[in-house]
Amino acid sequence: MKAWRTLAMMLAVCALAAPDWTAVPAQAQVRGGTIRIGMDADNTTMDPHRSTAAVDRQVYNNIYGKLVDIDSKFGIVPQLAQSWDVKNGGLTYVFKLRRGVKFHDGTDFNAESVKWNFDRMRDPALASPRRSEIAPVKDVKVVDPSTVEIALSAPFTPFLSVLSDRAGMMVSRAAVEKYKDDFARNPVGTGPFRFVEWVKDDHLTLRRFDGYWEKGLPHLDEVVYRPIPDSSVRFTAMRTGQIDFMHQIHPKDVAAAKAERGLRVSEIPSLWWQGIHLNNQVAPFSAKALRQAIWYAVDRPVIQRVVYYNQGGPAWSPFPPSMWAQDRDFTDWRRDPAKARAKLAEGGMPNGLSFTIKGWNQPTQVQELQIIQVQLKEIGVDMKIELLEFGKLLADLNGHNFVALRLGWSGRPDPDGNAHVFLHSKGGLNRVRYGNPKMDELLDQARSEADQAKRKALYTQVTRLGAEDAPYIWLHHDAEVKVWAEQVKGFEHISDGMIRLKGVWLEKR
Amino acid sequence: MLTFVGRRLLATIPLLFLVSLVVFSFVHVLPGDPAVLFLGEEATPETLAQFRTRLGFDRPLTAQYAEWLGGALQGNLGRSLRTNQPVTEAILQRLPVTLELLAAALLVSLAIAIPMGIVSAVKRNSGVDLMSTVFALVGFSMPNFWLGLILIYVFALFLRWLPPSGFVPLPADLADNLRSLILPAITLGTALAALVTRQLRSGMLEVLRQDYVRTAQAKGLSQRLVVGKHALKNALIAVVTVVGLQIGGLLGNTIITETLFALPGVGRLMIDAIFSRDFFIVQGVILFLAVGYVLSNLVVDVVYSYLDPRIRLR
Repeated sequence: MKAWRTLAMMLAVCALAAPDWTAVPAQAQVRGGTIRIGMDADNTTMDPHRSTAAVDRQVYNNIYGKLVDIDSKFGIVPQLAQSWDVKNGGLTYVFKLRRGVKFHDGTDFNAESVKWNFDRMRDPALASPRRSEIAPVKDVKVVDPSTVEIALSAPFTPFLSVLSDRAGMMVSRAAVEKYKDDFARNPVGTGPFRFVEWVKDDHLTLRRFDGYWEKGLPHLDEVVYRPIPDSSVRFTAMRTGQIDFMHQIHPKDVAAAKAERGLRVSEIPSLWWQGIHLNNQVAPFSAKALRQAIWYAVDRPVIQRVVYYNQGGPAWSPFPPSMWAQDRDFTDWRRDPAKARAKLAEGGMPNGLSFTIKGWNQPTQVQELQIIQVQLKEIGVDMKIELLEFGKLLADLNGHNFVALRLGWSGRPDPDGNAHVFLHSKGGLNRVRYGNPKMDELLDQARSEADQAKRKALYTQVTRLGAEDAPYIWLHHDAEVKVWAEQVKGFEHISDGMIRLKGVWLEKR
Repeated sequence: MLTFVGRRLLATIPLLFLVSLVVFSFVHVLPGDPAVLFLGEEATPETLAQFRTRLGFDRPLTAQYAEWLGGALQGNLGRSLRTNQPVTEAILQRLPVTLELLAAALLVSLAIAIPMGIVSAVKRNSGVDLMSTVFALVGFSMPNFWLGLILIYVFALFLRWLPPSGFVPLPADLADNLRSLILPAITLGTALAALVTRQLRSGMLEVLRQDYVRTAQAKGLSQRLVVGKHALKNALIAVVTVVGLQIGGLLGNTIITETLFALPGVGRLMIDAIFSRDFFIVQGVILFLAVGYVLSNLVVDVVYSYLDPRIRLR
């Protein structure tokens, strides 16, 4: 905790003292140049309504305009929607759209396009992963060419935050009708860059869109994404100047990156949480006291130090420190072996117990599980580790075929996206089958409440009840780290980790 | 010779059929539901069912297999679930990279192994022989990816002679193409070089002990002719077998090498497809690699029979 506070303070000091990357500096921006970005994986599809891969979003943010975006404090800022009104007690959203916006193929963006995009996402035949994200949408109406009205079936405060990601990305109808299924390889949006070519596993090229609606933007002429899956090799490519920007760096390399001349490193709290799913409906963890025993037996700061090289912070709820919803006064997550043993006795297992945890066969995760194994041993709990391939792990999770299972969540900008799906008895990702009517009530209230202070009070109760019931053992919140060459300027680092390039420019050397 | 080749070709047909069957069922028993991985965690059962219907996953396996095999025979391996690109096109696009890498690795390994094997056999128990033994031991036991990482650190990061990753196509720039292939080829070829060195050394020793070699030497032929012509050709038979059999292993190792050096080859295609559960690509690539393996064995047999005519007569 202390280390985490120190880190947060250091970050705050850095942000105050050297704001050259937190805000666009007053230096003269230079137009032109190509930025080369090293990615951890190749993209899977260029169709935002069909994508489930995190890496896809990196590229989409520069090809596609979204109705709204988020800023560094998760405030909703206008993008294609210039303004909006929430009416009818949160049931109706009226969006005023920006005029004169063109898609890369020259067609107009207007209220018709918005309606058509929502219809496309909601069309069962497309089987879009976006469908569940915008499930509350009941009806989309074109009021006039620059006004669109969306009716919801129930108040849903996170709605705008949902529209700040793939669900809010507008694709060109003409292009979808022209390319049909091949649209996945020929994307057309309204973003600052247009798609040029994609040679899978080698590179993906974007070029400045001259018809972009924000005057004077973007600064760059060209963007080249290069997938380099091995993290050490990606970092080497960064150090040798093969790439100018890198996405995803291994925690062990962060110190080296900071020491390297010519590189800039930015480290901020992410939206992630890492944790253990406990199956609340099978023995032993159907007993609340036994779940609590695990909660008190785990030493989170040790995990943070050893596995994550002191980056990020300990987790006691699904809300990371980047979120206003985090309850920073809560302290009942520290390791307490005596309390853990008492909870074991309370659960009828004074001599300890034995269970198997399923985990992803990946070095960091394995290391984390081994540390937990030793920590549990000290209170007499014998945890066996079963390592699986990721697809099998997900299959077992979805099939409720586990007693305990280790999995993380990449997070959403609105706290609802980090909590409701996991903790609500009807939540889409509540695979642990946890159910508490009080929790359901709190989560539902929080999602329909518009006032942030009131929402925060509700999420504080969610945190406390979540710790009391311990359906999950939250372990860690990752740090969001980005590394780039010093000639790259104007990058604003936001906790969602997206590399937004419209304001980025290259200093000529 | 022609009948021999023809007979061997015919024999591969049932083998390839078996391969197709194994490949197909293999992909279908893989854990993890492609629909879930595809539509994301929060997909409703209804959406999942629609997805399965759209791709024909709800039909009986036999019907799916028949359709897939029928298509495969005409060169149509389906389309990528993710990008909608035809699988055959995806493979053919990446094939030149993998073939070039394989050829370069083979070249590297033979360029190291043949001189080293010969010298260490001729100068048995000398310093050179000891060196080659050490090389073989290290080269063979060192994990592929580890060697690759070391090469990257030394030649890309410290000396800055070669790029750490990426690929420049041959038509674009010959010099850059070669530069981008040197480290991957050494990474891929070292283990084979080690194996071939040992094989050639023992083969040569065996042959050098034969009567006809002694006869040749007694006739007063030069050492160069005795070793180069009489001994080497016979010792090479075993080497061809080893190299041929190892091509399968090399194909497997290209997956590691291509991933490490970010080369856009067939191996990368497969790894990516496995991670994104792109079924038809996985099927297509495995089938393709299996066919490549079978055919490379066929080539080995033919070369073998050329080097040692006794094999043809049996």
